[in-house]
Amino acid sequence: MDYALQVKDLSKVFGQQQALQQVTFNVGKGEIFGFLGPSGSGKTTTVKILTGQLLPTAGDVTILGKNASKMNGSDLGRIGILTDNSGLYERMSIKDNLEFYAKLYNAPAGRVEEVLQLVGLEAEKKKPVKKLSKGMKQRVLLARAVLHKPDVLFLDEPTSALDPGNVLKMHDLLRDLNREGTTIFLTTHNMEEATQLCDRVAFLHEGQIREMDAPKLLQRKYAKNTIHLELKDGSNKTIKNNAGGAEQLYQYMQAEEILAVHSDQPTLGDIFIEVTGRELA
Amino acid sequence: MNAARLSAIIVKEYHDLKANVQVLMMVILPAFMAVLYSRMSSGDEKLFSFVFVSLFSLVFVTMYVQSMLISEEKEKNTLQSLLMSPANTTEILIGKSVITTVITIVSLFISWLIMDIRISNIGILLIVLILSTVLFLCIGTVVGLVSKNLIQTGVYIVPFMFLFGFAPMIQMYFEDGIVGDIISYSPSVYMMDTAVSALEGQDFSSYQTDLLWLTGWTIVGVLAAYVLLKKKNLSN
Repeated sequence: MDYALQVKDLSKVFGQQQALQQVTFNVGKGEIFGFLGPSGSGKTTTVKILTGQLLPTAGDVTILGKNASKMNGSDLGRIGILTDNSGLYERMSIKDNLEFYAKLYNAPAGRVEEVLQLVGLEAEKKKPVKKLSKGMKQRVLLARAVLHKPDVLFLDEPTSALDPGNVLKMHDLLRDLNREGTTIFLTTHNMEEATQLCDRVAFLHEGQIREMDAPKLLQRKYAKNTIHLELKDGSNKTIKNNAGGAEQLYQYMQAEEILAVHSDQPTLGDIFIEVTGRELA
Repeated sequence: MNAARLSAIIVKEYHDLKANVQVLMMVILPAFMAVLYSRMSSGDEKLFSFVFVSLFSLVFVTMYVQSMLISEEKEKNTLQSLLMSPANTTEILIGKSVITTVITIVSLFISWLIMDIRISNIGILLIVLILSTVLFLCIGTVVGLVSKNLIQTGVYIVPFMFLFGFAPMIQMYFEDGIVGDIISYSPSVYMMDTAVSALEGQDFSSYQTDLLWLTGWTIVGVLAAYVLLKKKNLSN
């Protein structure tokens, strides 16, 4: 398989603090890979090492076949980055900001107008960035990160400041970009977002990967094989998903007591708690 | 070096600076000093005053404005985005210095017009001004890069402004002591000595050592700014 990212035994130590401990994973070309973990788990440190902004203490990191710490200008031209330390020129308009980066990345003519439409900011393009809301700034940053249709896109909490309508728009944009071949490395707290977008996810906790697989496979792996019933009298019943459970279910159905039936498929959030013992907050 | 990327950075600087009133106000200061000194001095004194006003421009416009521009880019995280783009360190360093250089040239030109100095040895004077401009741009860049934010830059730049802006005067007052000896190595002293000697029409041999020292300082400044900017992760 062709890999866009290869990470082997990656460790990072800040003073006395072990931020990452022997982290190993690969991301295939064209994959959307979710990196999930609570604040302080090492997500941002990983992104900084992957993009060459930080040197690892130990381990190998390869991006598009090249050592991450040795990327040159043309390598950087193949990646897009949206992290918490991405900034915009506040006194300049949205359009001037994007035009500037379009020239730096040698993006094709007309691409600025195209991304402005994609993020729904065409009508606001002449506004200075300092007059924008946090959500609008986040959309400009996302537009900037995808201007040059990068081969690999790093997104650190890309939809955290957006309203639900714009989150859906951004998901469509990312899916379209992914269909065109962009590999996406996404860190997020939003489990729903990870389930919808990611081909695979990794759970990072205290600098170590605790679990990694496709969301559907993880949900199957951690399913309890039970069914929950909400009854008309207000009570809840849990029955096994087997022959004995089928008998019980039949009885409740015959007595017309059932209000709702829920499967026991866990969310990624449930699985994260089970694996790490703490919530993704 | 890529010309398209370099011109993109210069155009961006222009767009950003034309709305930056705080920085634009600094350009007026040397002109104000020029008016003051043109009334206070006459004859040969005027040459010294002109060089002093030029040094004032280099310290208060070139070095200060550059430190503020770099620091603002760092504080707003735009410098990190620039460093993570295809633009290389040289393009960023030059691109970010062009507008400050233009402002410096304008302020020096206005000072010259106001003080009405007859310039002899213009070649040497230009070399001194170019070397000094590059040096003070680099010192401004270094101060901007090592500070965490604009407020810290405002604090860190003050000793540099005092040291470089007033070094020639301090040296005059403490000529025979250890303070005078130390301060005589300041680049602004070399700049003043070379420029005044050139304007007075003295022989090249009388100021060639000073010019050499100024060149050495400039090379050190360029290397320091380049190495610091090359360090990609500015957030840690």
